[in-house]
Amino acid sequence: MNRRRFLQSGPLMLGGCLAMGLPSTLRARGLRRLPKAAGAALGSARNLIFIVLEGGPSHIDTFDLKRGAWTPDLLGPELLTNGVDWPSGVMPKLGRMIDRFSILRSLSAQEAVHSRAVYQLLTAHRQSPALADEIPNFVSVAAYFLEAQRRPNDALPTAMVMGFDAIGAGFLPARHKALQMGADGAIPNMAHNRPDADRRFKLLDDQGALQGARGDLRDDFLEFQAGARRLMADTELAALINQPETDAQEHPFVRACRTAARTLEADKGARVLLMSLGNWDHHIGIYDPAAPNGLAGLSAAFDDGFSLLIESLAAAPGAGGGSLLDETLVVAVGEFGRTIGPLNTSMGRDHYPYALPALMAGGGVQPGRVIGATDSAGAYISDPGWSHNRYMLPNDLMATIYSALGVDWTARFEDTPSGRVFEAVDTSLNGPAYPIEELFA
Amino acid sequence: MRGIVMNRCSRRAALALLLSLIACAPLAVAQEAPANPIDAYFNVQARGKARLRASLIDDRRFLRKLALDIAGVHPTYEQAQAFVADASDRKRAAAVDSLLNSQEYVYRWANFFDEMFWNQIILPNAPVRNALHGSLVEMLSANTPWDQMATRILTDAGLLVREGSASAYWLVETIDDDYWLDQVDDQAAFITETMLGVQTRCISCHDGKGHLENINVDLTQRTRREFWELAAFLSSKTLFFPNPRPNLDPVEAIYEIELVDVDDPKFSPGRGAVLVPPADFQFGRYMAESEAGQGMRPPRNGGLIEPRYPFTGETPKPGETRRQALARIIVADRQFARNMVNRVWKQFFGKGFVDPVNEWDLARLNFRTAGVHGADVQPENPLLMETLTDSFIESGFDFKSLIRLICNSEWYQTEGALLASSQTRRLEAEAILDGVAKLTGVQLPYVATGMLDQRHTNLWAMPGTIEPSPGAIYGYDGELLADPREMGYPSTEVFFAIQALTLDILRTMGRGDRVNRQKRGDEFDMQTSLALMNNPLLQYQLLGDGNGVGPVATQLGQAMSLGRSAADTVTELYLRALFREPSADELALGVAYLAESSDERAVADLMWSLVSHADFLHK
Repeated sequence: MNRRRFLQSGPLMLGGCLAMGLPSTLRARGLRRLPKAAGAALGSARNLIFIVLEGGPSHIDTFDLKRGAWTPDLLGPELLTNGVDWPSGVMPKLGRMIDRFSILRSLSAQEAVHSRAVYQLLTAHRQSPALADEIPNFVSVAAYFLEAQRRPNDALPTAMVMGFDAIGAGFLPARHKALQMGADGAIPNMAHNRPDADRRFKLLDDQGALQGARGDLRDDFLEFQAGARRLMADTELAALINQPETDAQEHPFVRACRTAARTLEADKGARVLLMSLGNWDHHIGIYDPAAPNGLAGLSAAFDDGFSLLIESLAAAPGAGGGSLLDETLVVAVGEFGRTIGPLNTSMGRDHYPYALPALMAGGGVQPGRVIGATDSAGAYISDPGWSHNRYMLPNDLMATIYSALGVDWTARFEDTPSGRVFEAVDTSLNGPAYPIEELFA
Repeated sequence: MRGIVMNRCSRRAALALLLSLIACAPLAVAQEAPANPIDAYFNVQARGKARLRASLIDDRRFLRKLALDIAGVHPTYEQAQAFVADASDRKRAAAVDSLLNSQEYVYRWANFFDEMFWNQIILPNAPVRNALHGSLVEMLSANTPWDQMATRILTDAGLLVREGSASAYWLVETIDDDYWLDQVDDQAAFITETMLGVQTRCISCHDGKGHLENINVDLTQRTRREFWELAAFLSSKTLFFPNPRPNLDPVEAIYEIELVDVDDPKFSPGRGAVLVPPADFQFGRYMAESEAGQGMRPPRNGGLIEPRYPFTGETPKPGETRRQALARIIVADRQFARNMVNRVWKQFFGKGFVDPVNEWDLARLNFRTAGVHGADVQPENPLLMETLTDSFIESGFDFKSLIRLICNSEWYQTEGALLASSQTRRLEAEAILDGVAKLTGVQLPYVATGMLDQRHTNLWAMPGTIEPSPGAIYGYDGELLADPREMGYPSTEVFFAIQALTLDILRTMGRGDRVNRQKRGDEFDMQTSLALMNNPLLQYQLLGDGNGVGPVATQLGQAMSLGRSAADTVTELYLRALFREPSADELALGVAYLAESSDERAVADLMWSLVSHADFLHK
């Protein structure tokens, strides 16, 4: 059995191996298993919407507001009833909904370069040129573990991505790669747009049925082909999900949020959605009200999109009796913070790794909390705010996400192409990562 | 199973020894000595030539596989028909020679090196990318030996933008790093990766010991200092701007920058000239000194480091520049030959002797060295790998003779079931589109940025991964460089559509993107299937437009209307698309489809369905 076949035998087999102890080949190599027992994952969320704020928003102007002489009127700082200082001038809707999500303020980035910071958020690993090829996107890892829960009629793959070219499935089988979807929900090349389609596709399907299993890559292709046909055959899909542009003024991110909510509502198999809202790299003219991608414009788009997500998910019924929001963890996080205090000479703020606030809602998160704190300038974490008595790192956030989804964040894959052990959340550089239980209890 | 399995070697070592003894004495085993060393080796492994002969693939499928492997393109139907009809004993060897002499071979293998070297656009209008690509095309056309190719690239000097420049090889790391020491280190790591197949990036940050025990035995014995000594071979290479002056357009300035070696006796910077690296490095020294936050590597405190090749201890000789010394030492290193043999082998069998091809562990090359460390031998079939390496060196690093050896072996011409390394592989994006064009007879002309004088129907001829490009007709300032109608396109819109949609299909099919450091995909996904069925450009080629279908479907449809049977038509379609006859069920399915309507549109439908056939998409 080669690596591909081994992995394709899926989580059931992996689970079996764990239940029986390590397979002998692995034991022979003397690899340790972590003492942490599998299955300790919280499992409070069925779905995930993960929003990366690419470019890195200024933390002291957004989720960890620090007022100063530099603070412009347009931010409209407002001390809300629960004591949160909030830029209501640019994010009024979320200000009014402050009791419906929680804020992590003791998270610190480890990277200060865009590509590396995004890489860590998408993989729960620091970027290493020696390993880059085989490291999968975390949504693919999640899809791998959630595969056993897929239902026969699930037309969409577990992992979907909107808005950026994400990292692929790495060493995992290609079927766990996220499917790309436009902000309007359109999947490229879904429509046939030719007359006599039924007859033609019957020919294709009959021909596919004549191709038996060959025990090689061709079987995988036939699987993808069948998946693509299921997708096309699901005539409800487009009506349920697609959000064609109705308002040219609307920011594409807001449309993408509507698409994301409807994708989960459609309940067609997609459970892990990766999204992006970019252009936060405000080295120059951060407060310029006229710049479409200035802080004000992007904050407004985020305010509209994130509040829309919370409201639409809360209004939709979930599978377990509550709302869809109860079952969906929604996370928004930047790449890193930005330099604090007065602006730089270009009236902007530069990269700053030591504070990286995140917003969390739904999926079992107790809303209205602020966990952890930075000092009065927003320079460093002053209060970790959780039981582990250190500031939180991106990999703790990733462990939290895995745990909420019911995925064992301590899982290890032994048989990678390079021979290096792959941990779902890397511990080799920082030691163990922990789910932030304070969000849920 | 990969990885290093300790203390399990003795039985394997004994077996390997036994096999080596047998392999070294094939005459004692086989009555008829096979001339080909690959067959000599596998005859032993497969225990008998009869068994090997029994599973040789038929002529048609052989020609398809051969053309796809050597030239990246399908044979035409007519070529396959003629090949099957040819009664000559030597026709397979003749086909190998003919393909090796084709222009398609040159483009396919230029792409192989473009990909290995991450050749990418870097500058507006792609002058350095196109120069390196052009050099590769020129060297492959001349069948330039690999040691000479490598030497030319490793010692490239002169204007960045000039015909024959290999500066793209050096700039690919330069643009990624703004810290000079990182640039040099990354280039050193890139050289070992591409030229030796050894991944030394690990030891560019830390010694191997204590880190790589389960990864790479050889590298555990190597130190960060040794890596610096390797990188020091590159410290006298620098960018040189001879004539800086105020108000110079930076894009124009690029055309004046040179890659130089400051230790070249012929080099003397004029007054006012600018050397790009900071002062610390200007005299060609490698100072292993940095502070926290400088560059992406951990800080270092190593002082002045002199060049020394870590794998043999060799150093520069008097009169050589450091880069000349490195080129001389590298091409003489047997690993340099092994690396290329391994990479070429992978092109033909889907998997290298060592795979991934950049993960060689030099302490585990054979059972003697591996045994010392109590580890497994790393390469599959190490003796064959060494035999082919001998042969490659003896041939004077001749690609064509290596490929000829592989393709003329019965092992290559055998069904894959006997050996794990003989795997089914997916067709590359370019080969799929070639297949569609040949099947339908609808060829589309493509152009690339900075190469408007060339129009290609072969996508392997594209010099980069953002080509073909609709933007190719525009200059740096947005000026129109050529009118598509004068280039033979019916309209500018058609020109745009062909370039843009083709680029989109290639990406969807996993061609990879060197600009964004995405490697070529080795698997399909759902999006590929959707594109094969529904992409408008593929539909145009396969299903035609309001004016009718492509020439091949038209011709087959007309033949049917003149009385040709549906069965013959279906059979020919399978031969054209899959290079095999249909099974009885497939024939019945196709005939039933044509019974409903036997016109050229129905023929086109069959073509469309065969493009989504697993056999069309794999080799």
